[in-house]
Amino acid sequence: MIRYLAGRAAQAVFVIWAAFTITFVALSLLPGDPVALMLNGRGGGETATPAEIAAARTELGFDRPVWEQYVSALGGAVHGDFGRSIQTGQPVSEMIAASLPATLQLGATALTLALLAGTTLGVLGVLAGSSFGRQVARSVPAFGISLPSFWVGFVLIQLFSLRWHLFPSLAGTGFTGLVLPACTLAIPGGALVGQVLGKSLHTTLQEPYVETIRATGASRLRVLLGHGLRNAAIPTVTVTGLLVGNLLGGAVVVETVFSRPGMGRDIYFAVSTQDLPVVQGVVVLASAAFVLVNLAIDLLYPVLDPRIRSTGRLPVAA
Amino acid sequence: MSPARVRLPRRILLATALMAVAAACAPGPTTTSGAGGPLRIALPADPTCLDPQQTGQLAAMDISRSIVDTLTDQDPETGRIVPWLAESWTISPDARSFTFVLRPGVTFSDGTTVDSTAVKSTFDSLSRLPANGAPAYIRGYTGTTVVDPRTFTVSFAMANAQFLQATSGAGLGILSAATAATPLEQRCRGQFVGSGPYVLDHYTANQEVVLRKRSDYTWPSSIATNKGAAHIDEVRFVFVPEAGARTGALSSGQVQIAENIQATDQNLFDGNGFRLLVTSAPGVAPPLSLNHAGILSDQRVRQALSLAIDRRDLVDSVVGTRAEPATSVLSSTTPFYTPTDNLRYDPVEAGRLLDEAAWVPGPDGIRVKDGRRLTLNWLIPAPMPAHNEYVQQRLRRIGVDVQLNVAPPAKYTEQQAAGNFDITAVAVTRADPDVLRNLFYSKGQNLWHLPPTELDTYLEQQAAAVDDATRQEAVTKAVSWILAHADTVPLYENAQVHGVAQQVGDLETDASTRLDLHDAHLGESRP
Repeated sequence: MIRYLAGRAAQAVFVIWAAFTITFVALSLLPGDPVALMLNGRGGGETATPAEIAAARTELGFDRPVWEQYVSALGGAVHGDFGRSIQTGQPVSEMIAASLPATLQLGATALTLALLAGTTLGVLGVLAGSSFGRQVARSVPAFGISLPSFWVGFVLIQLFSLRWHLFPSLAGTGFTGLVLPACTLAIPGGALVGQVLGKSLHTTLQEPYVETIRATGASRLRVLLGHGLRNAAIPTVTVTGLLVGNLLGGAVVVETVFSRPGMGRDIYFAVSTQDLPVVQGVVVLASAAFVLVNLAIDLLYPVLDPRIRSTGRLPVAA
Repeated sequence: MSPARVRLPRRILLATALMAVAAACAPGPTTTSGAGGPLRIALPADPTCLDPQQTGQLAAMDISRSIVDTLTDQDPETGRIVPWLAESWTISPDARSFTFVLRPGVTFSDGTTVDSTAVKSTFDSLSRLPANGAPAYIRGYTGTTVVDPRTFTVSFAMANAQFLQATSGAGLGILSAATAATPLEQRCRGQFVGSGPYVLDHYTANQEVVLRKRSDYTWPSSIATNKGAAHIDEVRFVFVPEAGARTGALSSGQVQIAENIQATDQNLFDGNGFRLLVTSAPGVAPPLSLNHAGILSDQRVRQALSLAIDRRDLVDSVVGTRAEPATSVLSSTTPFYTPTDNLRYDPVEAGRLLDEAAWVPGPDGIRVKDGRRLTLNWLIPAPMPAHNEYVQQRLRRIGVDVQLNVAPPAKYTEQQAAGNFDITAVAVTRADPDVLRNLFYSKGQNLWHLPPTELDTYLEQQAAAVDDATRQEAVTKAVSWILAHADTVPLYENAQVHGVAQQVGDLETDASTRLDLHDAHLGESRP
């Protein structure tokens, strides 16, 4: 177990380092000069002269060779110091500390909603009273996953905020401001969970052993709760791990539509202005979160499925 | 075999769902503000920097305009420069030194006095910044001489007539001596001290800026109606990048002012408990800016482009009914503007000029010359405005092929500096004709590669003219030259359109189109 964990930790470090490096290379290769962008973005129609841009570049350390910039950025990142935003001059760690809580709150709420809605859909898909009802429950995920988030956001704002005045459209940081953006962000995730869980439950209930259990007089519901959900848990949990990554991507759109402060908006603005230190900070944090969540999920598998405990490997057909 | 199913009791489900919705229903979000506020304003973007010395961004200036006072004010009606912190001034005949006398009894929000020393530290600090935005107005600054606590002289190495108008803009707002010593990035986040009717309460990046009024404020501009403190206690700016969300917030009462209402939504707020605050932006009217180094070095081709655009139709069908067709290089609200009749629509004449320049229609209708197609590369910073495609279609009708090259902002700046374009579009908002020198002076940045001509002389003359008549003559000569040589293709006069709830009274904009919150009041709080 110790060796397993050490191996996984090494993998995690490698993934985070790779994400950091790829981001650095990609943003360095992009045409355009973040320093000129910063200076000209503030002008009232005047543009900075080449001499002024050069002076600012020197001050920010952009005149050094790229490898040297990379080494110092990496050295700082190891100590949790990502430098200062080129655009605002604010330390990146401060920016992230300020916007992380709002995004965590949004992401956690959306994840909870997605799991609740997805599980409900999956169960309805095999349990609903009529075959029509089951069919509907099974088609909802495909429909939900194809809805563009920004459109859903606008529809929710139109109905719940502007027409019925139930929730604010300028989502503040309070609870009421969280409802609509979390619902918007939860839809694709919920659809994904519903799809995977529904398929898995359906497969389980077709198994021959279900007939045997049913013959002992157990109800369908009992079979489902006692066996179906346990068997369907592994793929569902795997999908949940992937969802965490999707949530940050979705936050970019949702936070913009609902004018919520958060990391999604930070990263959108930082990428469009090539604000390398900010992008690096967010990417490292996001990849660390992703790696940790998936590590936790891998450690959950043996708990969920005794067959993994004995071999240490997943069964071929989950 | 079909086993009996468990039916989920639907009524229970339904009841649970209804209860959940009811529980989540907090009181509705619509807020009514009392006379004291807060007044809520939705801005299209987080300005990221609030320091008026470091940013010329319109959203930032809408905020900082209420925090800093300026030496002078500009009357939005006449364009005349009138007293504010300075009660009088004299300009040397060579337009190189400006002596001001400050009004007594003015204090910064930190309690220190607004005196000559504070003005000196303000301008000294400004002169050390990169010359984009406000620092450009004091190019050639040689220093401020303190004569006594209320009298000082600002001097320049060359004639700088536009400096007087520049002192009316928030960018040259007077800051406390302590501000000059504050690190620039901290000033960006709002740590600067002015003497304005409002002070910054806090600025949370990506979220909001909150201003509070100064109750001891008694020194507004000489043309202000309100002679005392502001009527509204608290002003909250929120950042709403999505245009649809901004209009929604205004119509549902979550904000009282929404900036930059899209043309399609403007009629919603013209009445029905709202009004539109429409300001025609002074300065260089939005144009096609032409690179004189490529195909467009031929004046006839440039003239053809200008003749091919039906400006009235452009405004009515694409830009929006509250804009106006351009009638000169400068927009009609700019001081020293004079109307011209150079900007006609005459596609036939445009075709004749292109024929004359030996550009003849090829097999697909696009003109060719010596085996080369008449293709122009239009460099556009993303996102592309809607009217660009209209212009592209119009130019295609006279056989000119325009390639719309939409670039991310970073790439746009770089490509423009490198001259990799035939057309760009650069407008400058400023209530002074010196904006012409920013764009058309061949000894300046000269992004459009204009050759040195008499135009440079006219631009220098208007920069050195102390009296209005001389300046008017130089400006008129410069504008006539630019139009006669089709150095640019002015398109329309831009209107800045804000939506305002009926309960906000007496809200106006200053001559530079920035919000003036000092005279505004909410509801029936009329003094």
